[in-house]
Amino acid sequence: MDSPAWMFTKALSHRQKVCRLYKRCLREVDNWYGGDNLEVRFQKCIIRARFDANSQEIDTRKSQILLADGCRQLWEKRHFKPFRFALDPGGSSFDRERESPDEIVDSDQWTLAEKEQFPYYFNTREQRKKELLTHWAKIEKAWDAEIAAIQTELPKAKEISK
Amino acid sequence: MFRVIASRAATCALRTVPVAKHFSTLTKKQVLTPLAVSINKNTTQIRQFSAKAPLTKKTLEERIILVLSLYDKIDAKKLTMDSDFTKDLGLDSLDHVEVVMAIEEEFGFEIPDGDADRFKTPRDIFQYIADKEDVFE
Repeated sequence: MDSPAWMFTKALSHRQKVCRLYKRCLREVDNWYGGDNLEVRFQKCIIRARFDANSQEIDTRKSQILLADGCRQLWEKRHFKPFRFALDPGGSSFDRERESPDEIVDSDQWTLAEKEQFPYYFNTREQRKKELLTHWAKIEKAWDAEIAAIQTELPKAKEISK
Repeated sequence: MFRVIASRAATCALRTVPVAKHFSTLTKKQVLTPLAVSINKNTTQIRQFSAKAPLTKKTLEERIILVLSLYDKIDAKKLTMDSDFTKDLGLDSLDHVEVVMAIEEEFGFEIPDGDADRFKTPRDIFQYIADKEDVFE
């Protein structure tokens, strides 16, 4: 299984580092010039041109220096209040939406008349529950198979012929 | 409930004659339309600080295709859900970053760089957003 994206278990390639730097640069432009669409577009084009100017760099040592220099410039021009999407962590509306747990729809307060009135809803709900259970049965079977595949006995010692 | 409201409104209207006159001058349609719409027909409703608009698989696919086709380096005629960004559409890695940022802004949440690296086709983006936003119908 792959590790989640936020857990850095592998070293990034130079190309990935440059891509991340580019994205951060564009976000920085959004931070500083946000709201003025023309100015944002213009500054983003300039940044793109600066990245493109050194895209064909063959000398790895120079490209590493360029990358480090880009990171330094980004750090120097960092914004005091960086942009966040409203519903993301750190955003203004993060965690504002509260979803009630799914079980409360399963209450026994439904009357028969209500169940008769909305047959599609109640039938699909029952069907989804069955699907979930069969899905879990499949997963459990896969786990059992995985456990059964574990080697429990030591391999037999080879007979040494004299 | 509606009957109670209607009867109350009727009694209220009968008590205050000028209000009743005011109502009678308006047509039914004007009363029902919201204020912002009746002032300016061109204003559209924007969801600010509220929950996101509900997504279905179809609308999700349409929105992804729309965003991608509006990107100037992508040829909208070649674009399908299974066309590869680098091979079929001819984008380089920086373009790929810009595309991912456009998708982020469209759907209003940040996509981590490690996940964005795995996007090869629009189908991958579709699957990722469907997983994140719980789109299954």
